[in-house]
Amino acid sequence: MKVLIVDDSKAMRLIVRRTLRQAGFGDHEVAEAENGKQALDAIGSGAPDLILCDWNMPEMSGIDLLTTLRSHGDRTKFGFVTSEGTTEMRERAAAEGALFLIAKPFTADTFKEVLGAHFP
Amino acid sequence: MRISRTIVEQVTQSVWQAISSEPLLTAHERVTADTGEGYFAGVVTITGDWEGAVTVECSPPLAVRTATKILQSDVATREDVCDALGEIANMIGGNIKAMLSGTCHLSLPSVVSGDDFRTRFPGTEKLYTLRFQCAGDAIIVSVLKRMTHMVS
Repeated sequence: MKVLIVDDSKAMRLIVRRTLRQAGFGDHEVAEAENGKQALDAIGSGAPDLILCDWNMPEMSGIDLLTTLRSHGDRTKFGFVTSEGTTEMRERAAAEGALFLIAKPFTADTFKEVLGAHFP
Repeated sequence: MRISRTIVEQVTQSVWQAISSEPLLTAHERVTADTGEGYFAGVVTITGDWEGAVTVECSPPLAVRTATKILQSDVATREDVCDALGEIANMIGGNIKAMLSGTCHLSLPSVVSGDDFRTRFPGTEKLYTLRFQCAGDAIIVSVLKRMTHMVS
């Protein structure tokens, strides 16, 4: 399975990678993008199976990436990993087609619990 | 919900525990992040139904140590340190914003580094300043709120 991590923070992309390993998902291929625009380019050249995406990013936000993908008929599994876990944002994420929203900070147990259903 | 000192402390501890194994201890009022050789300051602003800012000031040894820990590397560039501190400010600010009523928006983080500088936010009042130390090095979290004025 190919996972695309989208976050403007290099530190956070590393933390997400590490937490995926700690949660038992380390055997899967992982790619990275710094924002929604880079993610679109990465998706165009090699479709991921799961996108883990920050919400607030320069160039193109995570929610704009999601709405762009869905408007083009792309149904890739998509979830947010963001510092903002309000009810309003969770509802908007779900309405736009996200499968989950994991709030930062997170643990390996949270990843196991939330992502387990989306990995083979 | 109203932001309380306890909430800010809980959020800071929660974020810190997720990124570092070093304990964060409450420090006395005279503790400063400026070691005399400069310091780092990460900032996020919140706008909307509540307006203000969350700042995270960090002494250079702690900022560098935290960045190398996150990167799992022996060295961290200035950019790496700023990125790590920006993400810490983002997480603390984002969790505080999540507790606010109404509709609010969180800015992208900004990070300033250097010596002999102060971050100022005109038109705001400081609600809380929480001082911590990690193995003797300081990290200081402040929450500022925009003052509302009656126009006559």
